[in-house]
Amino acid sequence: MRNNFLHNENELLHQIAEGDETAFKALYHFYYNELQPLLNKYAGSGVESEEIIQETFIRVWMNRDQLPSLDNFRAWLFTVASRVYLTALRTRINYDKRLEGFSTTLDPENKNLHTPFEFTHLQAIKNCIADAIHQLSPQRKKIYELSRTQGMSIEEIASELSLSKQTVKNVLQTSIRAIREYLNAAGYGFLLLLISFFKLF
Amino acid sequence: MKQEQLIYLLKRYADKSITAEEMLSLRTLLNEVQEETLIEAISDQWEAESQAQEYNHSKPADVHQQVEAILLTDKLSVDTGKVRELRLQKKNQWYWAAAAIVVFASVILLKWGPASHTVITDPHLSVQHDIAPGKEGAILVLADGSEIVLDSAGKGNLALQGNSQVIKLENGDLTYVTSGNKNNTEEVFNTMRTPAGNQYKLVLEDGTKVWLNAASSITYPAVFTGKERRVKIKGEAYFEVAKNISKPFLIDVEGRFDIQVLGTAFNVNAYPDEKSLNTTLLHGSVKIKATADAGNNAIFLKPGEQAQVAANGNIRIEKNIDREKVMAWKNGFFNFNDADLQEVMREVARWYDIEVVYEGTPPAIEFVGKISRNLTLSQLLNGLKGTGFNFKVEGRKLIISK
Repeated sequence: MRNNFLHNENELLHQIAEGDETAFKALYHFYYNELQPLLNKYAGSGVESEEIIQETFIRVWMNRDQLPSLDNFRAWLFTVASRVYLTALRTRINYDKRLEGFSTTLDPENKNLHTPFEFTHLQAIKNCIADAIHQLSPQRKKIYELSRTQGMSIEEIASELSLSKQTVKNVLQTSIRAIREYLNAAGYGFLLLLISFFKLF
Repeated sequence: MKQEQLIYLLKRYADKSITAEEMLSLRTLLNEVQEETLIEAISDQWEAESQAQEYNHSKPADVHQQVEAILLTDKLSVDTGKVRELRLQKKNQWYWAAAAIVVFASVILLKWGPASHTVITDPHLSVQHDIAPGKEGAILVLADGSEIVLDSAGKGNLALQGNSQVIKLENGDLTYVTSGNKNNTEEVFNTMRTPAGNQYKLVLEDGTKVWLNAASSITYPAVFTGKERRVKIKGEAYFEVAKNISKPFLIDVEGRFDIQVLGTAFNVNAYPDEKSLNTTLLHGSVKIKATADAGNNAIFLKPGEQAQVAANGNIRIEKNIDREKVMAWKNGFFNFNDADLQEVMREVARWYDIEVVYEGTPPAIEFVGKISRNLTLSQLLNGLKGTGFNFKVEGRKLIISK
């Protein structure tokens, strides 16, 4: 039996869905401690495993509105992390293979060379998210910015813009969905995560 | 697949104790087992392991910094901080030079809004004004010669061509929707042109999808009313041709050769400054014939093969093709595997809309690795820095020396 679990997980997931950063930090802290030793074991300690965790949680955050509807967050998170790990692994293996072509006496120290994965992949995802936000319609972008950059609550945004709370909530949800669709169209598969999860369980 | 076997191999790979034979098994598993099955096997294993392991207590301060970085990802006034370590490596014909290049660009500030620009402060970088990467954009030339600039602005109905409505969709794609009888009308031709630094996607009236790379063009009828579907291209384009057995799809490439398509996906790279004009088939079937060839010497391509048309019109079939490299541009990357410096720079010039000039003989360097096309020019150059050449940027000119 597992000796560790997050007793208020459900509550946290609901708060995160509303954009609560403190709740996200608590969730991150807990699961970081679970994933980190695993990734150290499977991806080696250092930059690569940290990058995998970072990308995994970017994916969690960008799917935040969907989190409360998950039956089992933990299982879903492990699926997401496995997917990111597998992508990094494939890149690494292809890269190793290319290196072999250049030298038969490869210094074992060189095995520690990193693939361009971290830079291109993670940075590209971040750039793509920035682009996706930039492409939102002006009204959506404004509300998204008030929520994210200014850290305003749904109520505060609603009173600032004289809109109903429900409207603000809808706009935020539509925006995050549009961002995911943009990422998906760019080939980063942010939508697939949830779809394949529901198929599996 | 045996889950235990996969997990065993992954662990051996991770602790670098894997034998050549085991590596082969691992590669085979990764290539042949379905992605979802692999993911399920790994995540099940991890869940089981995580329940057995001691709970690891990491320092709250470290974790705090990491999570802040994640939360910054979707904040508009995003400060990307230091550019992550980039390691791009130079290939040498005789031995592998061990140097991995680790580069940091010190501070990058991204500002949003109408005067959006990127400021790079790196004393080692002789780039004053950074050059943004290419973007979605094209010029549509209508049948009457009038031009419409397609960029992120403006959506909806653009023009009526014959009895086809040209529509720009919510996602920015251009599409043609025909109303009424399409058989008794004459073909009305449109041209889509991408300047350097732009790429675009359009959907032809028959449902064929075309991705146009930078500095390229395609001329096509607004409505395909003839017995054949004929288009002309220059530069580079990727096609996913809609199946229609009764109406063959024909592509005239620069007046140099024709591609006859039988419902399929393929990439044509026909930039005039490249060594050969390359057609790479991903799936389906295509037939290629030099325009000057009056005879019947057509060549059929199989999936994964590339036809290389040389300047003298000879067609060569290359069977061992790196598909990922061919399709990298469409997927948002530069793939520099086995590319020499000049090849790399030709692609960079088209994407950043710059001119590349060599001082003296161009250095003979080959590369491996891939880089996102979303980076600014100086971010990209930073990644290439240290591979054995020097560069400076003056206006839109990139000067390379040994």
